[in-house]
Amino acid sequence: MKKLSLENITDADIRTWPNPDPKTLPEGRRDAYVARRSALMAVVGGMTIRAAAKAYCVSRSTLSSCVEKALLPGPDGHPLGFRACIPYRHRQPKPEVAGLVEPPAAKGPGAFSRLVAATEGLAATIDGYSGPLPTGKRKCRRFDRFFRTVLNAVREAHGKAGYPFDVPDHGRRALREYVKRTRLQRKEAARPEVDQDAPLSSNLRGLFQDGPLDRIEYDAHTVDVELQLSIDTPDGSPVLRPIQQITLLVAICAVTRYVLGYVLRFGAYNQLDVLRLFHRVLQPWLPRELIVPNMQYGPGAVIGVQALTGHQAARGLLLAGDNAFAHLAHAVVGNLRSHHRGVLNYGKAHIAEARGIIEAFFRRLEEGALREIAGAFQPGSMVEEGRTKTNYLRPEDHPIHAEAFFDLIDVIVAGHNITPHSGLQLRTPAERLRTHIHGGGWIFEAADTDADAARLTTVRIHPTVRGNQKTGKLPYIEWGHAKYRSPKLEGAWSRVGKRHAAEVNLEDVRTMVLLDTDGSGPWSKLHALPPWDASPHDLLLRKSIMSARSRGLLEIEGSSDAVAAYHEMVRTKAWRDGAGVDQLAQLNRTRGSTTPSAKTPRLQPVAFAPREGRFSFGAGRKEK
Amino acid sequence: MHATPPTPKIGSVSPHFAARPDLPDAPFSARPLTRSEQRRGDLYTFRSPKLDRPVEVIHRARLAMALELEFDPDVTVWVERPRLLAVNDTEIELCFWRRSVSGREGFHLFVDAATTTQDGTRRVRHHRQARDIIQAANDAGLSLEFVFEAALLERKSELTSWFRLLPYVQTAATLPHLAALERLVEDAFLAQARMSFLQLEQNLGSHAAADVRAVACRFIHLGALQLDLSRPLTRLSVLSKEVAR
Repeated sequence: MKKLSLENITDADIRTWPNPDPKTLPEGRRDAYVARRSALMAVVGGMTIRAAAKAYCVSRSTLSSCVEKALLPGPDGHPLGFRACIPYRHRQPKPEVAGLVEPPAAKGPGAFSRLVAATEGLAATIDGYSGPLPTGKRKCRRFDRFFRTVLNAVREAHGKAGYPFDVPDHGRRALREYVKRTRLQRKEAARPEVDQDAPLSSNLRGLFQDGPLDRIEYDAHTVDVELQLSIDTPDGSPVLRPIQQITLLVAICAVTRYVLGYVLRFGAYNQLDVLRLFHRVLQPWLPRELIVPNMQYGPGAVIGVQALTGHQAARGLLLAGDNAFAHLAHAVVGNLRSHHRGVLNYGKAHIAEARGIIEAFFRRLEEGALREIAGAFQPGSMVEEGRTKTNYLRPEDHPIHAEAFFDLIDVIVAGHNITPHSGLQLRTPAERLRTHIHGGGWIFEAADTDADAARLTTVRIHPTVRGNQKTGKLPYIEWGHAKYRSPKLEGAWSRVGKRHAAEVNLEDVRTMVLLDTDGSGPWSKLHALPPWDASPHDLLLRKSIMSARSRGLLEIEGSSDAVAAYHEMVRTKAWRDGAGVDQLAQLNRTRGSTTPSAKTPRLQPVAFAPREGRFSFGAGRKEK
Repeated sequence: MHATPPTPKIGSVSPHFAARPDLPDAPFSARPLTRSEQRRGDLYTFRSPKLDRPVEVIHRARLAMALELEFDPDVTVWVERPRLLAVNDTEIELCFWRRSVSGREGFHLFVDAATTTQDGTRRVRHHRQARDIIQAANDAGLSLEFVFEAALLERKSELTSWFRLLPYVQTAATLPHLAALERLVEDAFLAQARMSFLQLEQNLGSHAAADVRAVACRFIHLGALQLDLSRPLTRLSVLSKEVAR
């Protein structure tokens, strides 16, 4: 064995060495890595190679190669450090061959690398190839052309004898492997081997003292219940269709575990639901009129801060959520920052430790309350485990009654606030928060909460006013697939072709308020033209209607109410194909579950007759 | 049942949207975070009353530093992520730049505990690359200050107070009757130099308590009122109008 000098290694400062987390490695290599790392640390600490290898059950030659590699520079320029201990990851560089490299005479290990080294300019040619590599499934013409270029270069340099012409594929596979290998090396060099942003140390968690309402955690949770929705078919008989997802969005105080508000919806949630959640947090909670006879609120059950502060509106100081797209949407971040105020915090998703209180709340809710509902299940902790039913009630025998289900969740969530909690020395969350507020504790209040709540769902846009005075096309604004007009705008030819600030409430996009030219005050309220003026709808519903239209599922030209047409389409699809049941349940809640036959005629007259465009006064909606 | 969301008062436009004076001129502009930084890091964002713009920082410690700059009346303008500094083939991003009333400018760099070493005899913390970074800063002609994690933790109670005052200061900037309330609060402190929040609110009983508190917090933010920061903030905390500096 080669004699190894241990002087350099014992002088090294291992605190500066990159130290990969074993969890980031494939499972089969973790133990070997940990053993080698411990052995290397022992060697740095002064142990001999022989003793360390024996103590940590590592091969002596492996350990000495680790020791040698640890001081070598890695692909990022820093010493390899403990990365040297990862099995099969980093090799010791081969000693440099002095002088000119001879091209390989015949096939053999390393022949292609030697060929590249021996042929001038070939390495640059191969490095410059950025096309796809053949996978054996389909022809790859770009790689074929590249392969011919490489062969030509080899032929010019060394003639037609020897490697690669002595193998059947003329080195095609070797070229592919070579390119693949160099690409992998380049990728690894660019990738930080050690996580750059260090995890928050436990000390810094306590950088701010946490008091009641200082930190509000919010998140969405898919309720672990399989429910069936009963839908009436046109012949009057009901069919059962499964609801795919029920989402519960909750905002909870991280110190007192007091629930400030929640939003329950069928299907996946979106950015508007996040804004709705905080809209509710700012508004006083009212008990529902429960329709199930034997269901009632617990004594003193309450949600929201207003009830505890004598209808002053206290708020949280820091809203902590995960980095879901719906949470980080521009409208959500901008409006919460400006109108809810305080600090917003976004962290990585699926880390229970980062927002432990809300995760614990969801767990408590599932285990304490929802496991007894027909169709409730316990999700497996592994994907292959699947779901385990938690009771013997069949969801098919108990189709969902939406109002009763919403009543139930309201009762349960309000009940949580008055249930003694072991984390609060068996006091109730409501009691804990009340003590803080009545004891003169610091809370953030704002006088004009209603205005702030209203502004949460309002966004400012800058649309262009369209129109043409020559052809007589009156000024209008096109935004969100709809046209907007007002009598005041129709005479304002000077505004045509210019961008103007306007404000839209995302909850109801039937109207838009155009602002003064300096953006300081309202100028005119515009109304959407048919078919968007009849039913109230939010922007995301309009987007899904337009996407259904562009997929050919829906025809809204000539219809008087696009939302009604969409509702009917969703209903038909739900009973016929069992698709979009969540959408139907959600639409039933917001629009009321009217059957197509029992549709009431619209009472209010159309505000504006369309003057041009794609509308028709024909027979109405086309029958499918 | 939850109250149905009322239709917003679209007719009224809050002064938040009204025209505002331009930002104080700063020689740097904050590097915007990339989408992946926003999604991967521990992101904190708030609207800064001093800069009148939204601020985004990664890591709780930088939120603490931002709050310190925000509530230091001596600092007139600050910028997060102002520039990179080349140190030995690598680049490190400086956390903050600030300018004082006196015109002194400087940069702040957060140093977490993992990148410090402690001198065994003198118990002083050093950045591992302190000499290189100071050299690089000197070469670039920058005045650089290290902010150590341990030092931030020592100022915990102060930071918590700033954190709790921030939303009130943000609210004060949106109040339509801010100027009138400011004059009333000033008059109240002319009559009595030391008052608790509660006393002040009772003094100006005809106005909403939350608004009065917001204006008082605004004065703390501007440095016109002082607060005992060693004690936790409550509604009984005493505000004083002392000429300390």
